[in-house]
Amino acid sequence: MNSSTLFNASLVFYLAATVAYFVYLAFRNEKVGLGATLVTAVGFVIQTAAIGLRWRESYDLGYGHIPLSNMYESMVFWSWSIILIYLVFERIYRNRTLGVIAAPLGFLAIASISIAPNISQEIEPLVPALQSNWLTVHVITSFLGYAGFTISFGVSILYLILSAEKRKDGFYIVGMASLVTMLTLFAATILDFIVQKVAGVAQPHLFAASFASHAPGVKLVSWIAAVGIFALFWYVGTLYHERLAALFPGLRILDDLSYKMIMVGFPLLTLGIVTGAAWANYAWGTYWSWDPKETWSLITWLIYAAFLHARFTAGWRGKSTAVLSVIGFAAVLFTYIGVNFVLSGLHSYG
Amino acid sequence: MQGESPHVVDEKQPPPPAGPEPAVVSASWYDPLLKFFSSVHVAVVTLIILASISIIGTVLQQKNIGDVGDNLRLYQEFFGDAGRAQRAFDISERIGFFHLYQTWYFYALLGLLSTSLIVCSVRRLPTTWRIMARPKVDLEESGFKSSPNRRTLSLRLPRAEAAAVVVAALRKGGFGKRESERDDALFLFGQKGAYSRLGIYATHFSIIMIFVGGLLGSIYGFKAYMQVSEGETSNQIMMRGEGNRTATLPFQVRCDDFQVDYYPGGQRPKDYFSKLTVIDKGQEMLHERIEVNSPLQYGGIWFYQSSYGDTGRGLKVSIRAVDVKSGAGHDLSFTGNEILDVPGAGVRVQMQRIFPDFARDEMGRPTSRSNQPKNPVAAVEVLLPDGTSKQFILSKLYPEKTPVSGVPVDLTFTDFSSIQYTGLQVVYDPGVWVIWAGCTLMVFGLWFAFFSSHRRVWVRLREEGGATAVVLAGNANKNRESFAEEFERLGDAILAVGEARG
Repeated sequence: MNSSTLFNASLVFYLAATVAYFVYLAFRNEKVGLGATLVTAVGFVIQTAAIGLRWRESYDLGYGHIPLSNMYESMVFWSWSIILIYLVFERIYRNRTLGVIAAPLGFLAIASISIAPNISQEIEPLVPALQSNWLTVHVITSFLGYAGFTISFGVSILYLILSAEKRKDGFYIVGMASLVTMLTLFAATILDFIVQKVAGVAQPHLFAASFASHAPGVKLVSWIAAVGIFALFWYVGTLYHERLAALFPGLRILDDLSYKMIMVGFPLLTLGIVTGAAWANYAWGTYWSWDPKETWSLITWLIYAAFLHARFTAGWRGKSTAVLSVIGFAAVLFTYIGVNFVLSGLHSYG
Repeated sequence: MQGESPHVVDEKQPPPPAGPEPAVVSASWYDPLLKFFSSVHVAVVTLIILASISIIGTVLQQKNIGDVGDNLRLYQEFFGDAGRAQRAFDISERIGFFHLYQTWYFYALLGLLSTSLIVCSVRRLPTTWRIMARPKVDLEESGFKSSPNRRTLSLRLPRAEAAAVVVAALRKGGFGKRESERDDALFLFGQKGAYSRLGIYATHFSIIMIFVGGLLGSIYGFKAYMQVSEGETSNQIMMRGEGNRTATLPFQVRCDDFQVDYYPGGQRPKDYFSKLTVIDKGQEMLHERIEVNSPLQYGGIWFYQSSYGDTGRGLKVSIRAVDVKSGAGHDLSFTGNEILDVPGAGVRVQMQRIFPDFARDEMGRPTSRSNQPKNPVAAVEVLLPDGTSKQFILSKLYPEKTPVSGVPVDLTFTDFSSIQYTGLQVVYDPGVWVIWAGCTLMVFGLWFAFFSSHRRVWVRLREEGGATAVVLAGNANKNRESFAEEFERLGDAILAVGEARG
């Protein structure tokens, strides 16, 4: 047995948990709810074991480092963090509503990284700069923070979609666009996987089988499909508005849950930035060098700082803060993934 | 300014009055300015502008970390026209896009943010302080009625004894106690976690501290680079970002040894170390081995392992020659292309060429990729007594791949060294401790601001025909659900003890 077998097993559990949480939401059956929690917890234990096993495997290879050092490992840890934050939250607030957001996100994070092309799943040796205990603290705090923001983002999308009265509501369009963007990105990743692994055509970059294809036809069809899905969801979303809204707790509770998650994420992100600065100072003698990753983490921090002030002091509620949460999460995604692919800097290793 | 405290989390229910409202300060010329800077909208807009403008510096290469020339290529790709790209490049350079975070307008935004933080805090702190330090103890009837948590109990005890029961319960719950009397009623007040209201002020102050620390470092500190070869001593440093101006340290640094460890496979460096000695006024003050993530500090100046390289000087190669017949071994030490005698074996060995980082080029000829001793290989010639000779290739990492046969000695490549240099980042930053103090304060400040709450309980006791009517009210500025439970428990405890005594 190796760690990737265990990672696959945890995937199965998270997928099952997703289904269970939706069933729970639909029928409000406490037994189903308890089952969903149990399945998630078992998946979490398996994933934890998988991370531990991967850690040990790195020692067997003669490298010996905690598995938090490249894109694959950090994505797995992101998934782990989302589930952890959610389980703790469920325990404290005795509320299972967010399971329908946390379980699929936990699933998606590992699933998409397992199939993305050009992402090495190998255990790599660490360059000297990364050999530090600060690495562990920095990555763990940052990703737990990201996880809080991720759940808040999910809740905010729900809020924007469920609070809409009319299709032309700008907030509703933002919510639907976010949801459809996530869905199409996921679909595009799967398409890449099929083309690469099943059809055996090497992919030069991400989304080469869809949005970023060299064949204009494929590119066009992909964009038309994405717009089509958006139009369909956008139309259907209000048609079944009442039935959808009945599945979830009231809007006030969603609003509250979203901001509670940001209250978890913000201090953790702060700690992540501070430990990153301390580490940089210890390794290079510079606590802040305006490298793109650092700057983007600061941009993310500023957006959530704006969110907190808007909500606490200026009294914003509901749709406007939900939009800020969506923008904040876009910044999180760019800080974490976008910077690595689009910009260059010290963090180019993951 | 709204509410009793500007940063109270989710204060929706009207709190019981907490003292008289602050008197309106008479208007003066700076009032509009104060109003502007204490506006939360100004703060939020400043945060958003800062975030947006920072993006520019992540897209365009910045002078201190990247190659500004890349920006021209980026513009050419974007505009597809060399002339326009050049114009855009010139304009960007003039308005400081290539050193965005050091421009006057970026500093101005940070200044605006700082001013906003200071003005907000100074204006709001007195009110917060009054709520914490001078709570209204004798709450009005309306205050009790509007409280989100309230409860009325009747205890069959005289007022003094009932008060003792309440005081004991408050103390047990961790609530500090104050009392006051008005209109035949005794008022008790207890609070805890009041300091949580200071968390946000601590957080705001910590940001100012971080700015101050950064300023201190940029005014009084320096960043430099120095290069010291093994065995040499230097006090010369090259200042960064000042046209490579050189400067002299008040003490000297000697590099005693430099070493690189590689991961299995021999290509990826695992660790690199320098053994350094600090010499101050002719005395050896400090010996330390530094590596990446483990710097040295002397006299407030930090030395970080930053790079390394080979000087190409002082080559030393050791070959062990074992006489096949007698089994006697000799170490041959080469520093160049000399010919060395193997005593007793009757042969001589000449060093022909050294490849520190051996590889074969596309024609299959031996070559060295670099000066780094990643895969040292030696080409030697064994001169036999009959005047003939044989050539061998010896690998240090893979001796089994380069066997020596047909000559009376067995040769092993045992050691390779040349003089390396170590590259050190030299930093003096007197502001760094202010930064860390600020960061620590920020983390604790956020913790108190988000996760602890100011919990208050008001109690009114009035004698009513042999019994005492006890009215409880309470609120918390955060985490209300858990306070509601605590409030219930407090009431239950008072009731239980009161009934037991009554």
